[in-house]
Formats: sequence, C-alpha cells, structure tokens
Amino acid sequence: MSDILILDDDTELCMMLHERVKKRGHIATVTHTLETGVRTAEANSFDVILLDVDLPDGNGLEYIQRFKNCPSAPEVIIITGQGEADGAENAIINGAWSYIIKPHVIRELDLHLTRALQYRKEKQKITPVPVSLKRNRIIGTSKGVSKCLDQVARAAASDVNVLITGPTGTGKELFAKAIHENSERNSQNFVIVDCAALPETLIESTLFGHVKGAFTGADKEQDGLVKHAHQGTLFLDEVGELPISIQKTFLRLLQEREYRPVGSPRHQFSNFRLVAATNRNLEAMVQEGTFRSDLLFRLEAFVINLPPLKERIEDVRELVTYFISQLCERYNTESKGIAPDLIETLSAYDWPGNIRELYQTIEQLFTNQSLGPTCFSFHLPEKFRILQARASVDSMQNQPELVDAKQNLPSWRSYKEKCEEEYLVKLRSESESNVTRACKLSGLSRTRLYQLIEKYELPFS
Amino acid sequence: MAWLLLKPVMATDLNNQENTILLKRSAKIMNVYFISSHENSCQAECSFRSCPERFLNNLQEIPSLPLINRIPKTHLFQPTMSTPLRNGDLLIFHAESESDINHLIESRNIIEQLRLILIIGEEAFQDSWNYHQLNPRYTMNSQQNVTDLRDVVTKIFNHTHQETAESNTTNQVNL
Ligand SMILES: Nc1ncnc2c1ncn2[C@@H]1O[C@H](COP(=O)(O)OP(=O)(O)OP(=O)(O)O)[C@@H](O)[C@H]1O
Ligand SMILES: [Mg+2]
Repeated sequence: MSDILILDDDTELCMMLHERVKKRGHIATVTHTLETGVRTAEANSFDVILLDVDLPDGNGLEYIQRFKNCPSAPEVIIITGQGEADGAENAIINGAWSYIIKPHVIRELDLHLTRALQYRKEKQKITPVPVSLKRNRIIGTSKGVSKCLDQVARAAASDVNVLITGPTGTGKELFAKAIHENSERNSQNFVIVDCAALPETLIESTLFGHVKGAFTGADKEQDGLVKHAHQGTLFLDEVGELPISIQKTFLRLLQEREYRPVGSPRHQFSNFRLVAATNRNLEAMVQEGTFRSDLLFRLEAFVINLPPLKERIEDVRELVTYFISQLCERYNTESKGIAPDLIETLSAYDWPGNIRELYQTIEQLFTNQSLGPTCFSFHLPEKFRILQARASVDSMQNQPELVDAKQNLPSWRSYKEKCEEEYLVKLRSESESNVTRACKLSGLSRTRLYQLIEKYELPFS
Repeated sequence: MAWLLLKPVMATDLNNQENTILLKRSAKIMNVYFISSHENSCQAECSFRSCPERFLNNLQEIPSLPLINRIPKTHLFQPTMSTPLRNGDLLIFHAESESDINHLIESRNIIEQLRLILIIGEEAFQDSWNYHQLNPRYTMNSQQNVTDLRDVVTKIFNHTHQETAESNTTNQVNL
C-alpha cells in the first residue's frame, strides 16, 4: 500500500484517478491547486505525485523539483494534455519519473505507478551515501546546527530556491555561502543583493543594470547584479526589506529568469540559483499587506530556519575556541588557554545578538589589557560580570539547605545525595530526557548516568 | 563558620526587591571606516571626480551618521590589537585598479567579518566581476554619483541601528 497525491484541476479526472488508485490498494489524496498541493505534500508523506501541467495557479512542470524536495522525496508522474510534446520532454528534464498523456491516463496509469513504486522500493534499499559537506567554517555540533547542515547538503544538491530565516547574527549569510560552495555552481559568482542597503531608487538599476542614457548620470551602459549571477548564486539578503513596488518585478524575474535592463527594450536571461534570507516574519508581512504572497510562495520552496544561539548553547565552547584561535592568528599572538569559568559565564547569557554578538564579545575580551595566556571570565566586559554575580547568587539559593530545621548540619552523605538528585532533575529537563545528550551535557559516562537514574528512580526516555 | 555563610542574606534581599533592570547589553553600534588603496592621491578636497576624498568628505557631511574614520591600509593588512576594525563594522574600501582588488582578494579572510562597500575605479569596475569574491554589500563605480553612496550608507546604518535596538529591548533581566 502506498500514498499517492493527485493534483489536477479537472475534478472529474481526479475522481476517476482516485477510484483507480484506491482499487489498486493505495491511499489517494486529491488537491486542485499548486498551492494546496505543495502544502499537502510538505506536511504529509507521499510515494508518488500525479501532477497536471496546466493548473490555475501555475505550471506544474516548474514545481517538480519542489515536490521532489518534500520530506518524503516522492516520485512525480506528469499528466500532460495531448499535443504538449514539449511538456513531456520538459517533464523528464525537470526530474519527473515519467509522463502520461491525458487521454491514455486511465489505461496507462497502472503500469507507470507500478514501475515508479518499484523503483522507489529499490532506491530505499540503497543506504544513502554520506554527503561530504564543506562546512565553510560553520562551527557547532548541536542538534540545531546539524539539522541545518543536513538541509544545506540537500539544498546544495538541487537548484531549488532557498529561504534562510533566523534572528540577527545567526549565520544566515554564512549558510547561504555554504549552499553555494557545496553546489555545482561553486566555480561561478556568489552575488549579494542587500535589500537593506539599497534605497528604492537604486534597486532596479543595481539588479538589472541600465543602458546608456537611461537616466541622468547614466553616461555608460552598466551590467546589473542579476547578470553577474548568471550560472552562479544570487543571494537576496534581508528580502523582507524589498519594497512592495519592486516585488512584482522580482517575482517575474524568479518565474522567467528574465529581466530588462533599465532603459532597454530587450529582455535578457540569467540562469541563477536564488537563496534569500530574512530575520522578518514574512507570513506576518503577507497578512499586513507589505509582502506579496505569491513571491513568498516562490521563495520558500526550501526553508532553513537557523535557531538562535540560546537554543544551541552547547555550541558556545566550540565557537569560542574557534574565535579565539582566529583572533590569535589575526593578531599574530601565542595561542590562549580557555578557563572553564569563561565558558560557564558565556553559556549563562541569552545572546540576543546571537553569534555575531558572541564574536564581538570575544573580540572585546581579546583587547582587554590584562589578558594573559589564559582567558578567564573576569576578562569579559562588565555586563557579563554582573550576570556571573547573579548566577552565583542563584546557584546558592538553589543549593539544598545546609542546615535542617533544628540547625543541625546534615551528614555528608545525605547532603551529597540531595545535590545529586537535584542535578539529575535539572539534567533530565535540559537534555529533554535524552540519555546521549545528558551524557554530553554533564560529562557523565552512560554507565554512571544509568546508575544514578536507577538510584534516584528518575527515568529517562 | 564558613559553611554558614553559604546561604547569604544578600540573596534573599535581592530576591525580595524583584527589581527589573535593563542591562546595557547586546551588539555594539556599527562603526564606519574608510580606506583608500591610494592613500596619497589627494590631501584635500579637489574637483577630480573619482578622487577618494570626494566620497569621504561627502559622507562626513551627513549629520545622522557617526564619524566616518579614514584609516590607513595597514590597519587592515597588518592588524594589531589596537587597530579598531571589529566584527560587523562597515568598511568602505576605495580600490582604484584591478590589482588593488586582487590584493584585497588575496587577503580576504581579514575582511570576512566586516560589512563591505566597494568603490571601484571605472576601468576595473567594467572589466572584472572578481570583486564578488569579497562579498560586498554594495559596489559602485568611482564615477558614479556620490549621493548613491550617501543613500546606501545611511540606509545600512539605520537598518543596523534599528536591529540592534530591537534585540536590546527584548532583553530584560530580572534581578
Ligand atoms: N555557526 C557558525 N560558526 C562560526 N561562525 C559563525 C556561525 N554562525 C555565524 N557566525 C559568524 O557570526 C557572524 C554573523 O553571521 P552572519 O553575518 O552570517 O549572520 P546573519 O544571520 O546574516 O546576521 P545579520 O542578521 O546581522 O545579517 C559572522 O561573523 C559569522 O562568521
Ligand atoms: Mg546577514
């Protein structure tokens, strides 16, 4: 039994296909537009998608890659109208498993479906080759970063539009470059268009270039960034800042990969891969009417959401070590030791400016006059010392009572057990009950952790 | 005895006050620096259209911007602990020729952490797209209208400023 998604705007045909698929023992889901189709495919698991070409909200062929990139990586079978010979060819070029011409669809469906499902079965038997990803100086081994790196690998292997989201300083640009570096386009340009830097008046000529005399001051023809990105990657940074007046033009560029230099009557073509980034909530902007929903729909074909640093605080140690070594190299100084209290203090902070702020903090520490061969937390700027003081007060408060109600000192053993138990409770919640994570966080061996779990009867999952 | 001090009076006091203070925290404001590969080309204002001073003087006239510091190339190529460039700062680099750009590309790791605006001499600008390896936020031709640069710098500055302010206000610490 397999899961099949049928996407066609012809309701009668849909019903027929649905019946047929069900008869063969599969589960069928039907949708009639690309938008609902994409959402359904992204949220559920499908083995095969039967996809029409001519749909009310776009051309199905342009969405083949997007469907294939859905979590269940389904196979796509295209259903084309008669006489759309190009459509059939394009379907295969775009990565469809096969195509069926509409009048024969009922007759031929079984054969195509059986083959596609068989192929899928074979494919699933082969263990995926570990992708050798160039990390491009992305540091961190937390679950959050590893997940994003997996997504980088998947995005890099295809040409799909990628949207990178995440708060300021989380590494959006770094990840965008990593996608480019790991893609087949890596020998060509990675071109940045910073929408937060370009005033509205400059956007079009910067993106598309202009011809001589297009406006006052245009005394020579000039190429735009879209042309520079031909065969490479166009990185549309801070895309949430793109003025609504330009969004339509940009949408057209994404649909057709065609543009017209300012003042020119002729269209030009550029084959670029698009990566966009933003720290804004584009969905909310769509609701407010400041961002076009059709543009968002195009951009978010593949989304990578970078978590804030406080959600991957276990990466702080590795990041700090890396930044300090970079700074030692920059200033040509001897390598430095890192005291545990430095990492502790930095890990207690919530990093609103994320990794950029961490880097800046280490830069500040580095220029501290009293810095010797080892970096201690007292070398940090004042605000961290305040935090540290507060943390130590907190931890004292959290300690088990050292004297009982009658002011007697408890036995060493019972005091220690109390501490252990409290530590374990905290560890369980920090590690979300995951033993591997708990060992990593605490430095305890698995055996020791299991002993403690049994002793205090605090089950982990 | 020492162990009695482990539950200090101070802790409870602080707790009872339930004070909310806003710690001065988060990313610092972005600084803006100007470097020209042709340091001695001109000492004062002149009428030559591509003169680096023209760009610098013009930027320095914008009241809403912080002081834009002209710094020597050595600050970039041979940094020491006292040189000021830091992660996230904005560097406006004026490169006259292609070899100036290639020099910068060779040592591109030193500008990796900076936001970069390039002003490139007319010929080099037309001839090569090499400079994308430096990942500039904006690139202009040295013959281009200087107001373009003013607009871009102001926009970057305002945007960064606003972001910094936003991330600061969301972070209150309860003491
Ligand atoms: N995982 C990481 N490992 C090492 N360095 C990182 C990592 N993530 C970010 N950085 C560093 O943090 C700084 C900010 O990164 P980047 O500019 O990519 O973030 P951003 O999300 O685009 O930030 P902004 O919103 O400010 O534009 C850079 O100096 C970058 O090198
Ligand atoms: Mg960025």
